[in-house]
Amino acid sequence: MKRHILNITFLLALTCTVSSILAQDSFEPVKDEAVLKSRMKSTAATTQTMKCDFAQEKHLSFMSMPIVSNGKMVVKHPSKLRWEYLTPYSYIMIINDGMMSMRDEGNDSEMDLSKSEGFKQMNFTIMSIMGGEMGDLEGFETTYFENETNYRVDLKPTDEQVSEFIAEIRVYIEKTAMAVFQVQLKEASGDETRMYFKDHVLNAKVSEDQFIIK
Amino acid sequence: MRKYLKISLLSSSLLLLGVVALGQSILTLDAYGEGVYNMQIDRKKDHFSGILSVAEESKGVYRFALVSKMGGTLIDMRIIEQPHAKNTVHPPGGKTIEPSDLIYCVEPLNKKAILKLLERDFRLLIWKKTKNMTPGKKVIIGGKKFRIWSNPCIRSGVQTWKTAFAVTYTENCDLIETKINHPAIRLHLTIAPMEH
Repeated sequence: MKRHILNITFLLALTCTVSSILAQDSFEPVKDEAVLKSRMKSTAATTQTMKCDFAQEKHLSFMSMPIVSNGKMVVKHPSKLRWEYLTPYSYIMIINDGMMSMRDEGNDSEMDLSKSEGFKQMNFTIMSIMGGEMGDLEGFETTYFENETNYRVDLKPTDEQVSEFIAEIRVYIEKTAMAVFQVQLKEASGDETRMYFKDHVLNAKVSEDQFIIK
Repeated sequence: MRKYLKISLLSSSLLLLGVVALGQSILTLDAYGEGVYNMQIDRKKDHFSGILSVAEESKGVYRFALVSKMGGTLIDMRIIEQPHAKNTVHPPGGKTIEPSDLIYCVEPLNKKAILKLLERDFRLLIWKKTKNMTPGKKVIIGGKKFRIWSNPCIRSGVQTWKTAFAVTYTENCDLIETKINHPAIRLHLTIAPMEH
């Protein structure tokens, strides 16, 4: 009898866990889009800087395991971003007022993003997503979803050039803190890159040195 | 950005001249038949690095993908290995055509000449020693002649005067890195296994 009770308890616990996991994954269209947009706007307006750690998973359709890399990200509104891979390779990408600098295994290079419309658009898109300002993002068709704990913003490129590379971007936002905790980038190739963000620190002091490659 | 894409193309193109531990290709595939490599490409003053993923999908069928470090897939190609006796010999009047399949390629790389070069270089990676590799012996892989010489753990080969490559192994014959130099076009490649 005791064993039966234990089994039933275990099954119930398992069912609850599975249902709660499924509930987290199932999204429905947002009930009040205006509220979400206004929350995103006000979060962006009150966030001057943001630091966090990230893990990137590259899923190739033919590989059994994703290629995982880890690093740190720093954003300073409105136009500065430091994106740094620490393992398993070293790579830094910095966007600073329209200039993009890279350090790749000790080799430095620089590019003026304002010189091409395509790069300008890319710069604007990256900064908007990282800053949580995705409402009516130019060049993308935006749809909003939600579940109990999170929002999901789906961005489908409307620009032909962008759609050659990107099929869709999904941005997951935690409802309470309005923090982006996952970005899923579905490529035109059918492959996918997932980025997980954690340990967010908002409005901490960020030195300008962070946006210069030394 | 365009510059980097061009380099990445070239990079993948002239990829690896495989040098072979006995009976194996240069690829150090894991238990799932998969391998991930950090690939660095230097041409003149420009530098680019990416990730090369390789998997043996079934016996003699290999899949290669070159991915940028920020995650974008640049090229995805399937190459089918054929019996060495057929695929390493020029038939009279033409080169052997071996089967391959382009799954995906970003537009700037989607050029016939680049893809041909890429395929040939990827094919070098999967080439396996099947007969004795006497130093000085010439073999034909992907329609090009290579001269092989070797010692127990370190081997190197020469395609023509235009290309040289060297592969470094540990004492246990684990691959440390492969270096390929193309002095004529000032292109240098380094490929090393990466933890994933």
